[in-house]
Amino acid sequence: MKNADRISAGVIIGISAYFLIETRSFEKFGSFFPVVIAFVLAGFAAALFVASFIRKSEEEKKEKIKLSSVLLIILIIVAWAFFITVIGFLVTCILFFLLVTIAYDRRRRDLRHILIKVGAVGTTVTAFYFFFAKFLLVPFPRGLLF
Amino acid sequence: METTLFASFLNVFSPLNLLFVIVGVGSGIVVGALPGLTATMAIAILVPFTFAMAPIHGLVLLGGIYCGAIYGGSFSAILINTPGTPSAIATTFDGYPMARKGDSYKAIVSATISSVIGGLIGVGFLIFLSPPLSKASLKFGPPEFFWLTAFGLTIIATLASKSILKGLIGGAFGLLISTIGIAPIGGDVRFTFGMVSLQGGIGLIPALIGFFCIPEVIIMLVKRGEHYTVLPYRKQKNVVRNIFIHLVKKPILILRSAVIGTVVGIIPGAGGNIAGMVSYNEAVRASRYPHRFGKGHIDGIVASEASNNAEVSGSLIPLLTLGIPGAPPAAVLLGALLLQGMRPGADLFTVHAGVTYTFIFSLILANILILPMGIFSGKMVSKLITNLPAAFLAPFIVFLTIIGSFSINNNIFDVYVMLFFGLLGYVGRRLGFGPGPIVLGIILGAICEQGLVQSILMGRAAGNVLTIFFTRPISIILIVLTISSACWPIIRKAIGGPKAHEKR
Repeated sequence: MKNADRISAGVIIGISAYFLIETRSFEKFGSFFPVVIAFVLAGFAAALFVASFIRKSEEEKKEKIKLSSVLLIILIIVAWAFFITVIGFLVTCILFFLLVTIAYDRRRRDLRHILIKVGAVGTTVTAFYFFFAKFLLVPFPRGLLF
Repeated sequence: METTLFASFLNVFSPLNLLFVIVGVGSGIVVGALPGLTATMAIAILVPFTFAMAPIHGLVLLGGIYCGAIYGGSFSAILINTPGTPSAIATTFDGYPMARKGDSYKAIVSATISSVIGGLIGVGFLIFLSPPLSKASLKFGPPEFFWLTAFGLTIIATLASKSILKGLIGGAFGLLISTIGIAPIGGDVRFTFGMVSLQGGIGLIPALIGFFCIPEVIIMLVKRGEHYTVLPYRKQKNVVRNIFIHLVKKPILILRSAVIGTVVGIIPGAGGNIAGMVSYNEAVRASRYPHRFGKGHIDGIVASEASNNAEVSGSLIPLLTLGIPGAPPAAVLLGALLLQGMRPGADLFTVHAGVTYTFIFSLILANILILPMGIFSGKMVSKLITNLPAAFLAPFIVFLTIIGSFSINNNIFDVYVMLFFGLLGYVGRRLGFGPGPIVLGIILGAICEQGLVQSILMGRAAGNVLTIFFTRPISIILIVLTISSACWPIIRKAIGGPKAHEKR
């Protein structure tokens, strides 16, 4: 965690510096609070940086995770949100919901169970879509399809 | 006033309200029982769903979910040694050992009855403390609001995070995020990166949904191979009666736990996990048989569960009276109130008294309903914990978060904001920065800034800026509380030994 703390402290100090630089163009009362907070934040981050050198190394109990699988999940979620305005809300949601359900369920992957999943996902997403669109009158973003 | 109270009480039993309470408690129990799904997350997802409802229906539903989910966390704590919600952490200490002895039904019944009693005591405090506090809030000016937010931030930093420094960084980071948008005084357009959508500031609900839901989804999918082994759940005869008699004989245990839960709930930002742990520690300290704790002792479950359910109502006291959430789920409820155009404070108990009291009385019903629903749904919930695949649940949550964050303003930008904070929340969590302090910082930021800048203006007009901050009576009380809470970790380290539960 020591290295992670040092990197986090560096990033936070960078963010504080950016906010401080930006405040130079603000009026007095618009800049007062952000300046105070940015200084306080940078101070805490500096303390974290120093503490990472002073503290004794602790036994890490943290579970190990595969970075590639985390990145893949993040990519899927971001792509899901991005394609909503390209393809259309309903179709994108059904496609990505199915993709995750099939790809991440290790238990049953035969054709019958995949078809069951397609049915379950299609019904769930469509039902919620119509509940929002027709009952709550939420206008969804439109893409090439709907 | 009496008429409003009576009408509000009757209003709880209108068919629609009754239905929403039942649906809320039922779905809350299911959500709470599933590891990885928290009360905060359930409320965050459902807040946008309620905005088309009448305010009272939405609040009654969310209140039911809040109560049900906090109680539901005990199921997985007892049956799989994994707290369904953070509030149930202390329940695992004795709940799981009891279930391993074959007494899972007894453990669940203990959790259920103590949750109901604790919850009802908490609602009692809510009913009697809220009106006078809301009146007192009228005496709060900008300096008092500034110190109140300072107090809230020190509490969250010192209690709700494993590392005090990281808690403080999280809180300050949240405050900085809250400055994005048009300045409340002066009107500067700040930190918008040229994006018009950011001029109104960061949307509270998309940020909350992101921080509390997306990290859970990622964790759920990363652990896709994980399956829980649920201990057998078999009904036994006379257990409900025996547990009830046991609790009647120990009124101090349950009352003390409920009072601890309520007090911890009132403290801004401190959640049910802290309430449960503090209450458990006190139960061990006060017991004549401390060695029995941690080995399946019924009093351990009672202490934790009575406390965390009382904390629900406790967390609503500062929320409804001052607009300061007592716990993360209450922070999301604040979003629901604002979405319905209801500002916390004296107005809630005068202008919106009907809605507010109906909501409070609905919590009584929600707590009572936990008893039959909890006992009879035990078998189904235990099956659900094992059978509901994360591969279906995770994308379903993503789907709901997208709908939820989009439907607030019908703006895709809110979905991007939600995702951004979700990813930030995940990275932060991996690095040891919990979402609680950041979210509280975002919520309290605007109140804190307005209080600070307005106080400075008032001070200048009066001729002395410092006097306005340090001489008003309520401010002095809040300053003492702020300093005490900021120094508490140091004092605790200096005077205290290891906690009781660590001695086990």
